[in-house]
Formats: sequence, structure tokens, C-alpha cells
Amino acid sequence: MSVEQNKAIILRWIDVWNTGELEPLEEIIAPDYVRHGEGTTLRPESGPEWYKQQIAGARRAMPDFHVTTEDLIAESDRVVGRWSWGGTREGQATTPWGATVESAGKQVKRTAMTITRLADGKIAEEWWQLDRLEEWQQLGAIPSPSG
Amino acid sequence: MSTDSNVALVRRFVDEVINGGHLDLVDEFFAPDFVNHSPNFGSAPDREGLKQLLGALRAAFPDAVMRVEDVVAAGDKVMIRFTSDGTQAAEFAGIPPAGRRLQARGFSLARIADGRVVERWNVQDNLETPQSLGAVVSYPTSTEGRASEQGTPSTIDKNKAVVRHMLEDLLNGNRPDLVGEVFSPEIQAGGVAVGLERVGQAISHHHAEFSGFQYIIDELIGEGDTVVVRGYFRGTQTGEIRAGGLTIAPTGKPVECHVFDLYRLRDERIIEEIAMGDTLGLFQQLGFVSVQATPAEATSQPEEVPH
Repeated sequence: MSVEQNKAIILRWIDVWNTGELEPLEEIIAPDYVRHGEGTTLRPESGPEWYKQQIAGARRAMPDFHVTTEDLIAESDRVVGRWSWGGTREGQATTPWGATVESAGKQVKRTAMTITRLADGKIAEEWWQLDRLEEWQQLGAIPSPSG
Repeated sequence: MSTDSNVALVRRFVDEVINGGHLDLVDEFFAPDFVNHSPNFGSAPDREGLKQLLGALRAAFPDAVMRVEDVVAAGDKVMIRFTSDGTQAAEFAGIPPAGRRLQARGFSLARIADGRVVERWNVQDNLETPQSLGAVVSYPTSTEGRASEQGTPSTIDKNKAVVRHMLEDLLNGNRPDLVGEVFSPEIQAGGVAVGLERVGQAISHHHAEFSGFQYIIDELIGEGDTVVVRGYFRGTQTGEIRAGGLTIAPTGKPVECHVFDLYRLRDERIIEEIAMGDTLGLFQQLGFVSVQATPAEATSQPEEVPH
């Protein structure tokens, strides 16, 4: 696959995030998909199933969830994406350390970067980075500076 | 032998012998009557000559890694397109070691019979990575190698070398005095023009925050004028940290923080940097966020990890 074909797969993946139409995940996520973030590695039993739950969960929490592509950089079997994403929160949010915050109606507007390894036209491995500190500051779970 | 098992043989040779340093396995991969049609660096054109060459390369470039970029197989032949790089630690082919990163790229074709390589052809360019940005040194490789063009590295390779130089020499070496070598005076960070002086201060600041500060590159990816780095830094927090508008007093705790950085370059100088780090994880390690998540919790909650 060329880098342009690989980029096209990443753009299909972003369409799934933006539309919530999950079916293409069957085609574009490798069954043995592996995910790395912030020093942890996750090997879901089924890549496409895991991703369906992930995206459905994000869209339940933010029904107007939207991702904008800021940068797409490809070399060899890798595609790097830099993204802006956000939406309006529904209900409560649970922090990674188990606290609950009332988040209904709060606007989230954040950025993310991903590095994706593609193999045989599928997303096989992914490394991600989010600005989670600012995300939880926006939701009020971590104090923000008052000046 | 199928083409699949031939490809597997070549890949195992690269992994185990070239990258793994198991030179004792050469006989498993090469037949006794092996003929090397491209005996690099004046080596003998047989299996013994190949062993000696591999040993000499290993001694001179102990950290060298060969990456198989493409594989094409048909019939009894396997061709790979490869890139290699390593740091010269000992004299090689009459060239004294200078701690330089050297890079090679080329094509290698193997003919395989009964599970072992019987013939090899190879064409490669050996390029000094343009960290010193001086002359590109091309070493004699083989008759084909000499005839091949002594091309300059692509812009992407040059840009990657600038970014690597910045991280490994300026940042890790705490050399703010060298910022003019790698950053443009127009440097922007987070969309704001910051100027060279503040870039230098930021470099020193990392060492003030963390003793033993070290940035480790996991991966460099480049396209056009852009280079992306995935890596992490580690150190012991012995100075005050300010991040996200918050201040943390020195804790004396060792930390490891994963980072993605995007750099844009013009004329081999960095003109823009966009950084994204695991600041929340850093704060958790320092005990600022009271209850630390387990890795499983942190990555298994769909609604909190949109990517």
C-alpha cells in the first residue's frame, strides 16, 4: 500500500468517529490490533469490536462529537495524525483515577496525536497522545489556575 | 521452498544476525558454496568473507540497525530494500571513529536453494547523516556501489537528522548555546513566535526541573517539511515544575513521561514545534493527582479516551 492509500484509510477511520457509522471498522481495523498510549499497551480480543465500543462510547458521552484533521504525515507504513476534537458533554464523567464529575453541557475542545502502523490495508497498531490534563481541567476534575 | 519461507529466511537473517549480532548463525543462513557477487569493503566473495565482513561491521557499528523497508520475492529469489544506521565506534575501512551516525540504504538480492542463500547481489549508498551538515561521505562499497550515484540525503533525512541532533545533543546535552544551529530565529511554539533565547531557556529549564534529564527517541516519521517524534523523557524532579498553570514543588521522585512532538523545518532549521506530552501521567507520578489510575483503567474507559 502506498502512503496515500494509508492516509485514505485513516480518513475513513476519522469518518467513523464523526458519523458514528461503525460498519467500516470491520474492514479497516486489524483483528489483532494493538494500542499503545502513555506507557501502556492494550491488546483487545477483537480490534474491530473494541473500536466499535470505543467510538460508540465517545459519541454517547458527546453526541455532537467531532474530529478535525490538523495534520496528516505519512512515511513507510506509518501515518501520523494531529487532531482537534471536541463536543458537548452529557451527564457525568469518570476520571481515570475513579472520581466522578458533573459534566453535562460542558464544552470539551482538545487536541490529540496518533501514530498508526498499517498492514495490508488495515490499522494494525496505534500510539496515541492526548492533552488529558487540560481535558480534565476543562471538566473541572483538576483545578485550573485562577491567575 | 516457497517464496514465503524464503522471505522468512531473509527476515530472520536480518533480525538475528545483522540486528541481533548472532554471527555464529551465518552457516545456518548461507550455503557452504555461497557466492557473494557484491563483496563490500574488499571482503572475500565467499561465506568466510561474509562472516569477516559482518564481524567487522558489528565491531565498528555496535548499535547498527537494519530496517527492511520492502520485500519482493519471486521464484527462488528475494529482494529487499533496506535502510541502516549506526554510530561508528571503531575504525572501519581505514576511517577513524568519530562518533558519527552513519546511514546506508540499498537493495539486496538473494537466491535461495534448499533453505540457504547461495548467491547475493547488493547495491547500496553509504551516507553520513547530515548531523554535522558538512560533506556527505560516501565509502567504497562494491563495484556496483562505486558506480552508484553518491546522492545527497533527501530533505526528509536531513530534517530528521536536525531533529535528532536537537534532541540528543542540544536537549540531552543541555547546550542552549547551540540553538542557532537547529532553530530558525522565527521559531514558533504552540503558534506563538518565541525567539531563540526562550528556546535556549526552555532547554536549560528541563534540566533544572529534572536532574538526569534524558529524552529517548522511540521513532522519527517524516514527510515534506515535517518530522514527528515519538519518545519519552525521564529524570528525577529536583526543581519546581509549572505546567497547565499549576506549580509542583520539588518531590525528588523519578518520572518517565511520554511525548509526541511535531516539528516543521525550513532550510534545515526548525521553524515550528507542536508538543503533546502526558502531563496528566506526569502529575500522577509526582503524586499531584491523588489516586493514580492503573494502566488498565486508564485505557479501558471508552468515553474518556476518544483516540
